[in-house]
Amino acid sequence: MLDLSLLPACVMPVLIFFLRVSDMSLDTLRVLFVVRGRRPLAWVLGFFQSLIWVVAITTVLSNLGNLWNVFGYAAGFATGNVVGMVIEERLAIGHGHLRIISSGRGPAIAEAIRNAGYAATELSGRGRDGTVAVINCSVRRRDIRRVQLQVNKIDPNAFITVQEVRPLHRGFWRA
Amino acid sequence: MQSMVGHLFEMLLSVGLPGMSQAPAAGWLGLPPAAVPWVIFGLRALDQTLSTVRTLVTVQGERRLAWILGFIQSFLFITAIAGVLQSLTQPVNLAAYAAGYATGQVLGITLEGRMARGHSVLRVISAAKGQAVVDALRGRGWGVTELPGQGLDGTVGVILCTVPRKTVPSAKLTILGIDASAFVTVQHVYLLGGGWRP
Repeated sequence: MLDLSLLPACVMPVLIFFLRVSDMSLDTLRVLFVVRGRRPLAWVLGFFQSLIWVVAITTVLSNLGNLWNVFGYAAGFATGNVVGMVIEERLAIGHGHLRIISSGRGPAIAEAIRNAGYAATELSGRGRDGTVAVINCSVRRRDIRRVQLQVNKIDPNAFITVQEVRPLHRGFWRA
Repeated sequence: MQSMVGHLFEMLLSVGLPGMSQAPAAGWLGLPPAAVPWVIFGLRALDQTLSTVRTLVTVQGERRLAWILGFIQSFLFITAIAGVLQSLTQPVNLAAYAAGYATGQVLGITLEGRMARGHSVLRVISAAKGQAVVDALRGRGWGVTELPGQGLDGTVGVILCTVPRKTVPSAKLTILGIDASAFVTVQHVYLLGGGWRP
């Protein structure tokens, strides 16, 4: 394959850095898709990730005398990890399940969520100080913030938790 | 400063890999051969422990800490793998590498349990002692919401209680101490706002 040892010594750490940044970014995406069961995409990402990694590690290990290569490798790994985090946040793939507990304004919250175009299921529960409304609402992850703002506008004291869900079937989903 | 670090590192990593430009040195990190497996083991165990913590802070979105941990972890890894690859004929080094990895995983899990940040929601389904469970959880200072539910043998209490992740084991003991047959599930949640806190 390509002989990276022919490169000038000052270019190599930079190259190693960028190789590692790209393989770690791919790795982050791959884990995301593995968790969500997207097999073909996970395979493709895994293939390219390990391909890039092998090139990077071979270059480092055959030139360990150059301290900067090792620094490039470590810094690339660390940076790639952070880049992966940023990509993850931007993509916000998947769904979140919101559970909203409100002591007085349950029906109004459910109404507002529905008006905003999402589905809501109300349950009535009991808290320390009497009856509360428990509202369940599954939305796309990127819509969580919007729903939260709607809820806070009506009841700033509502208790809101989010958990990740794997989408099930049916139900009403905002197009 | 830079040259000093460079010199130190060169001394440390005077490895004799095939294709290396420098002359084959005495040994990896300049260590006596008997110490090599131990150092490989230690480096690998530490690197894997850091990896677990890094994953944790990555999930929590702490970018700066994730970068620092990633850098150190990667640095340790490359040092360890260089030691193993330098002397592939020494099976004890390979074993040390693998044992270090496995030990690091276990240490990481333990550490993660200690660090446990964030919150979890407990969902308790209790057939008869719902009210007692609710009182006990409130007594410990947590907010509780009850829902009426229908089970095979009649009405059950469905109890929702969000607690700090660290306290999940002790909350479980509290619940099972009152109703040993309660059905308890735990899920990791993110708090967006509100709620009753002591």
